[in-house]
Amino acid sequence: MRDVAIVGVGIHKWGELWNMSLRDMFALAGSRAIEDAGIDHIDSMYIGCMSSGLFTAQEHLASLLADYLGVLPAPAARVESACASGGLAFRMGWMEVASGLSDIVLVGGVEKMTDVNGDEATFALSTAADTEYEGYQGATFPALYALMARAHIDKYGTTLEQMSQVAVKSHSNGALNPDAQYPFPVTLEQVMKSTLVAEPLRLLHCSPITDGAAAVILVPADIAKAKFKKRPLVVVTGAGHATDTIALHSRKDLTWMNSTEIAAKKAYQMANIGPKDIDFAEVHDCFSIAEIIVTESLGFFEAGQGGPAAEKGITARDGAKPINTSGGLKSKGHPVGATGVAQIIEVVRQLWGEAGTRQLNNVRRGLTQNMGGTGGSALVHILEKRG
Amino acid sequence: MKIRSPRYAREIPQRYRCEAVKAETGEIFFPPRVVYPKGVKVAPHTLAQTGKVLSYTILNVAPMEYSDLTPYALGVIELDDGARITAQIVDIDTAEIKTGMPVKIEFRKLRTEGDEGLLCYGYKVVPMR
Amino acid sequence: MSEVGIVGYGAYLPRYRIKVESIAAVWGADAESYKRGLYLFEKSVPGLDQDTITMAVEASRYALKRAGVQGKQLGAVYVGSESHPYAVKPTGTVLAEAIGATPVCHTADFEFACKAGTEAMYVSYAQVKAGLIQYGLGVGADTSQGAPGDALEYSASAGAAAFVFGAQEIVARVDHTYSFMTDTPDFWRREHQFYPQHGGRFTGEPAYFKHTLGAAKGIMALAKMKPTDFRYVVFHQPNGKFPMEAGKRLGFTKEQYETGLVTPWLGNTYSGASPIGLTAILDVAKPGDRILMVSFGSGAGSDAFIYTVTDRILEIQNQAPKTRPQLDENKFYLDYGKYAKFRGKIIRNEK
Repeated sequence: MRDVAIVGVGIHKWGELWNMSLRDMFALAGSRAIEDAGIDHIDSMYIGCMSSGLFTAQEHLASLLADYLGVLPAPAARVESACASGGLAFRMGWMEVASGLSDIVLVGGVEKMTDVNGDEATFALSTAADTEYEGYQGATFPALYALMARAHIDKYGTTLEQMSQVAVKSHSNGALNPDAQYPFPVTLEQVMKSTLVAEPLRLLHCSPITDGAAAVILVPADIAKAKFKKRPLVVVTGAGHATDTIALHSRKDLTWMNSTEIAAKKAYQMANIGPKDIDFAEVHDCFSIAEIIVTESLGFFEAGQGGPAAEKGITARDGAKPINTSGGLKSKGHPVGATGVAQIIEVVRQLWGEAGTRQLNNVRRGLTQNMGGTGGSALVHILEKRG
Repeated sequence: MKIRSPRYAREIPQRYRCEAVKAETGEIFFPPRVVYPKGVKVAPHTLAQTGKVLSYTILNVAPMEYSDLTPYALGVIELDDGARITAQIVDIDTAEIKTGMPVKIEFRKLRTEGDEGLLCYGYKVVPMR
Repeated sequence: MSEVGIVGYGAYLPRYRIKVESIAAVWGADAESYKRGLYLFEKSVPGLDQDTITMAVEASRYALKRAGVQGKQLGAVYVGSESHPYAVKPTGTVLAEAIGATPVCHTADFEFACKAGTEAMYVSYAQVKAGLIQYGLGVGADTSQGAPGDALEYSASAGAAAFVFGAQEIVARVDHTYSFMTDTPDFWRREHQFYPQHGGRFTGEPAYFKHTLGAAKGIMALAKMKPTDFRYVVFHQPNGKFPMEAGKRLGFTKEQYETGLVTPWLGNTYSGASPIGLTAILDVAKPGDRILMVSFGSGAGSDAFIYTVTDRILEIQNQAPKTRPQLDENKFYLDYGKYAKFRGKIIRNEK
């Protein structure tokens, strides 16, 4: 297997982009990544997208997007693993370059979510749960995470203040990210008094509906070292992927993300490091409780300590373990298929020293964690700066 | 997306009668599956009709087919045989719901496919009185 | 021929209620006149997730539990209602499927205004009596609607009662049956209309009383019995006043009719009305008690039954929820706005 490096990134301002279609957004992010890398072609392309069919009545994205990005007849594939589609696309691209099958691969993610109304978007997202045994009962994603939140509260005494602090922290980071959908700070009081969505979760505990795309360019580390010298070399040193039951009720422990734990262990093992060696991370905070559970399942904090860690500022930009410097899904936005790729972009930018006013000091190793549904799938990647 | 006849009909045994499968190891599979762990003997099983609330939430925002019901409670229910289901908790003031609360299964209408489509039935849970 | 009777029974009442005052306040009516004049105080309302099918299923599960009979032992499943949820597609198939009676089972939906429930009972009984089936299930269930502001809105309510008939382990033996029927246009609903029309005061003497008293007198003559031979009597009860009046005219006492009189607090459950009243009687009946039941359905006709309660009643009364506690406990009162939402009375665009 070859080491794989990231040599270009492309993203755009996310939000409710009434004038941009799915193909427009992908072409914009993809062309920016190609331009950023300074390349004149790609060997192949992977696209993460959860539900273009339900959101935009369009399938067969691989060919559509290869055409509109202007890379025909390059091979292209669209992959889907609900909200982890972007992370999965990254894994596919990494595998293709690592295996030696291709030298230059574009990995993109995209979701166009505002071509349907709120009800329809809620429905489309709910298909990431067990449609027949959760969806049929009237479950929504906020509800399923609320069930986890209640269990976490009951088991560990996690407080609403702690959950709310996660959102406050994410927005304080997102305020420094010009690409974020909601780049402004929020107060603890605003979060705790926001509209109830699924008790105990309120609107500001939930990631928004977002249109957006993101793309990165992968090449073998040897080629990166030889031909892409303008930036520090950033290499994928760990990759892990795992699945779990799609139905939340089938899990033994409602307060734990087994797929994340297993994916992380694989990634740590590959990178030959442990959770304490990670300088910072982008994690899947689709809901505030998710960030708490995920930071525990990744091994950053003991079970039950994710809430207190957020409250103490450990996960803040100036804390010991900065989480979601991009603003996370909460502030940056959550176009589901694009999220996993955008997480990679944030870590790469931090390692390149190109994260602007939210730049962390002296970071060498970052982690991304992207998951589908209530944790039915999870992807973890570890990126390291070399030299 | 409207539920059409084939999809609805397939789920009737599970939805109406809580038909499941129990392995000799005690593990319950709901719904029944095509493939079970190798070498494990399984037999038909009907889910226990009583249980307790493991966790719950109250939805203020719901998908279209459920929006008339808001605010409604949804729980993860552990039945007395150890099986777990997701189910709405009805016939109770949502403020009175607590984890650990005993509940029983009742037959209810889950959703209505517009003015012309199917009426969709299944299980919900109600508090034990 | 062998003795046949009820071997298990069950009633299911929704927990929502609306008071007569809440309805009267919206339409500028005098609540006191309904309470005094019709002896009607409140009525049940089905939840948004309840209909004739769901209530029929729960009542039937209670009946099977009391009978100690499995669904698959049922040779027939009959359900009477004037509010079958589908215009075309049987209530009975969903019911039979939910209680595990399929596929070898005869199923039919009955409709005869408020008499459909006792029709289902009668046909189940008759099938067992004829020796065609071992057990039969007869259900009366309704979620009826009166037009907003109409007198019927104060009474039309929701509930179900189910009875398993068989020839072994009988709890209430059927001694006699009798039906009395004429073409009487007292109440009807045409296809595609939301609410029924009725003949106002014509629904009383020429309709309810003529048929109810006709059936009651007929069956007592057939059985050579008089009111004093019965411990209990239950009539169709469109309001609280009619059945009391019928009882008095026939010579029954308050002690005989009050146990089965549930409408003042339940409303008129249509096909479920006299059947639910019967369950309330069976809940407290003692071995040897004789019961007269007379239903009434507009259009119009009455079915009458004479039952004798057996020793086994004491073994099954506590096997499932009783009727009076469902009527009196755990009630949730609705205001008219919520009631209107629950009953689909608010105009909205089609979804």
